[in-house]
Amino acid sequence: MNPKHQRALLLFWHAWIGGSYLVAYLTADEDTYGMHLFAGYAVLAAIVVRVLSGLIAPNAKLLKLPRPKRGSLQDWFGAGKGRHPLFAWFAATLLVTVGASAATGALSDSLMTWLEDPHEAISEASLWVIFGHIAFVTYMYGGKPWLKQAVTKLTDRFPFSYGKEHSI
Amino acid sequence: MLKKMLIHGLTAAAVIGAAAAVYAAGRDHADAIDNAAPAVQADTGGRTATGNGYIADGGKRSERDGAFRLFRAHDRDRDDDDDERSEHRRKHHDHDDD
Repeated sequence: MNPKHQRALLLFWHAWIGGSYLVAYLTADEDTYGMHLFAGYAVLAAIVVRVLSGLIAPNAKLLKLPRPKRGSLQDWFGAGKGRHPLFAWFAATLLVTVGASAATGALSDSLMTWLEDPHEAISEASLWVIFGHIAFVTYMYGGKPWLKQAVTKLTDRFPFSYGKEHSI
Repeated sequence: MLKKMLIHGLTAAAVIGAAAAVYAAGRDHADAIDNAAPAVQADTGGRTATGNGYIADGGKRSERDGAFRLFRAHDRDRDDDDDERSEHRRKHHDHDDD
């Protein structure tokens, strides 16, 4: 498949899972259980579609499943070149945690009601993984120059800062 | 790019949220219909309710029904009293109604 189409599909999938997760998380209350159910199954469907697409097209540039390696982290922090390995680590962790959250939710609704508490705990954990993913991606794609600017402004403002001392 | 992804995600959330709301409304409506017959059954003291919404007795009488029967018997006695009163009136009344 054309990489352009793969990218479009991936963006569509990202919006699908992000939107579904947001609705599912916001409607977790008992009063909005019907909405929570619908959005939760939408999340589960998105995970299944993503895993299936990765299995069907294992060599596709963008659709292949992320395969994080422990060595890649050490290499990257040593040389600091290439794609940051945390992208793959975050993608894999998100697929596992969000998938586990959706799967336990679906099972606790129908077959295993005792999974209700684990579902809640995994969902809370997955939210923090999502926050980490957002913070990391924001830092990598837009936050780095902004952070650099902010640090420069701060160091210029305070005369006792580390940068000023060295400049004198 | 990040802004675009954020907008896409929020749009998807709005679409899925709307679909979920429609699904939830349909689900609640279906539950309300399913629960309607048992509710009527509970209100009528254990008498079975048929699918068409009418209450069927099924030959069983509840305590509440028995209490109503007492009232009905009382009404019947009162009717008898009225008859007796009319008879008495016919026999012993001084004036002729006609």
